[in-house]
Amino acid sequence: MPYKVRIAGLVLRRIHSWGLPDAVLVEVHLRLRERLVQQPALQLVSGDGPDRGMFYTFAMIDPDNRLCVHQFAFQVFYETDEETLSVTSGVYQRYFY
Amino acid sequence: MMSTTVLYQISSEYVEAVRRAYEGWRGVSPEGRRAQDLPDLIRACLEFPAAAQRLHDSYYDQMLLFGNTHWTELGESLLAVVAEMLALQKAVLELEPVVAEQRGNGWNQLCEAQRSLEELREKVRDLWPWAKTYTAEELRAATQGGDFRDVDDAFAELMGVDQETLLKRLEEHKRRYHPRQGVDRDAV
Repeated sequence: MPYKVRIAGLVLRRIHSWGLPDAVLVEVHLRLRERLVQQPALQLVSGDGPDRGMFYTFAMIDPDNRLCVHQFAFQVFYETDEETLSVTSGVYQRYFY
Repeated sequence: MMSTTVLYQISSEYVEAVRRAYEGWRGVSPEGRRAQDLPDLIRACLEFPAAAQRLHDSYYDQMLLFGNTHWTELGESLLAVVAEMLALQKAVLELEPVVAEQRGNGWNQLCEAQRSLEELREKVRDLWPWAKTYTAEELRAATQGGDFRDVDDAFAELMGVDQETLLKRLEEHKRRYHPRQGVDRDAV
């Protein structure tokens, strides 16, 4: 069964501060909502120790500028109900090639 | 760990070298100080904002491109270096009245450099991706405390639309960018 994803209010404010183009913002939503929840064990990289959570990283090319790559990483915890993934932190940078 | 990056070492050693120069400068008599190369010490401090920004960018690369998951430690390490830089700048700026004689040799720029560093420090404090540590109990308490939002609610709020519009946009996005289903890595 796919997991549910929840996001900390702080991460929400952080995403807002990134000023992402609409298509990229929708893609982030898609990745967290549909990609991550399918076999999260294959998507997540472990941190150092159980209290440090897991990490989900992905990149995407800007559809309006193919030389711009948007790179993301999110810290994610499994909830004890084993049905929920909680996103607790996130980092973003755009790179130009 | 994170403090072994080349740029961290360069930044730390640079600050230390300037500190030694400063201490040496203070060690001489007030009369002798005028003969010392104070403008050179000021110019060295002017490099701090650029050095701190390079370290900041390097840490972002560490987190995003090289899989370093010690986000909090990296941020703390950066703030520690910036704090040392600011303390040294402040110390140099307080070298009145001798510095006052050097205002034409970088003193004003040093005030500006100090403001730049303070801005970087505030940016890091506000926007750094501080990674949380949670025990299962702490995470449960945060959940019950209402710290988390459903992903659809959250993005609907971010985009300023209702859920129906949000899901329509999502489907439209998938048709446009992922017509063959699934999400291709590196391509929106």
